[in-house]
Amino acid sequence: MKGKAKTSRKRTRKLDTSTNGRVLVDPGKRGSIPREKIREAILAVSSKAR
Amino acid sequence: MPAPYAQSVFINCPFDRRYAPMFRAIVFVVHDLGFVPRCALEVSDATQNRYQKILGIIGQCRYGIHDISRTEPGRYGLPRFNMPLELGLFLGAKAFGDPEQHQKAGLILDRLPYRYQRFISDLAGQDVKAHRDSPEQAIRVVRDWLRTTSRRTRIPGGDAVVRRYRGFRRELPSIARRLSLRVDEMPFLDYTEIVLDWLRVNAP
Repeated sequence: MKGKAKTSRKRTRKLDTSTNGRVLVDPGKRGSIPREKIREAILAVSSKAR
Repeated sequence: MPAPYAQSVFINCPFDRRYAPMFRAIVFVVHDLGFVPRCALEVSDATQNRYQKILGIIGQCRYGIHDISRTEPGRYGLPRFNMPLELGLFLGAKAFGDPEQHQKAGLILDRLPYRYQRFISDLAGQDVKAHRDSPEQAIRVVRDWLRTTSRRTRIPGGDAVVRRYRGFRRELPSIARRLSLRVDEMPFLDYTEIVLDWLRVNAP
């Protein structure tokens, strides 16, 4: 039977490339502190430092 | 889901307070270059034994950074052998594993150049570099090695990474305080999330 050969489509993970070409990927495991809390703390400290 | 094999870096080093500044610097540079640091500290599942945990992580990492500088006798008058053991597992996986495992690349760190020849001379011919107990020197060595080994071209220079690390280190105690943590007691996974997010917020 003739048929079109099936091509396998490799699933790729979307990477965050928003930081000047550097690729930042989250590790598979998560820490115990919610990300929003971490972001808030960093923004508060980093903006004060500027 | 673990990070992709080609981006994962196994960090094999002491996990004590004395080594912590070096460990934090190495984790930072690995993240800053776009790779994912992995180490035995990331798994706290008590049903898995430590050896199995380490084997699993080594199998998932293309790159490995092994610090063999801790050779002096410890509390019981004996040196710690975990780092040489895990280095051996990594080299074994590369030598005897499947084609993906053959792609493994390792960097071996010691305190001084050629010192390793006195206690582990069979390593001759491997990539052994000295960090001289300086976290900033470790950053430069890891940066140069990952740049060469991965052949990625969009990797920032050593000075740029060190500058960013100094900024991060300055802010880390305040960030930790806001999260009700102490820097020297911060769990590995929380530390990596803070590094990752700090790099996003402070992207050049």
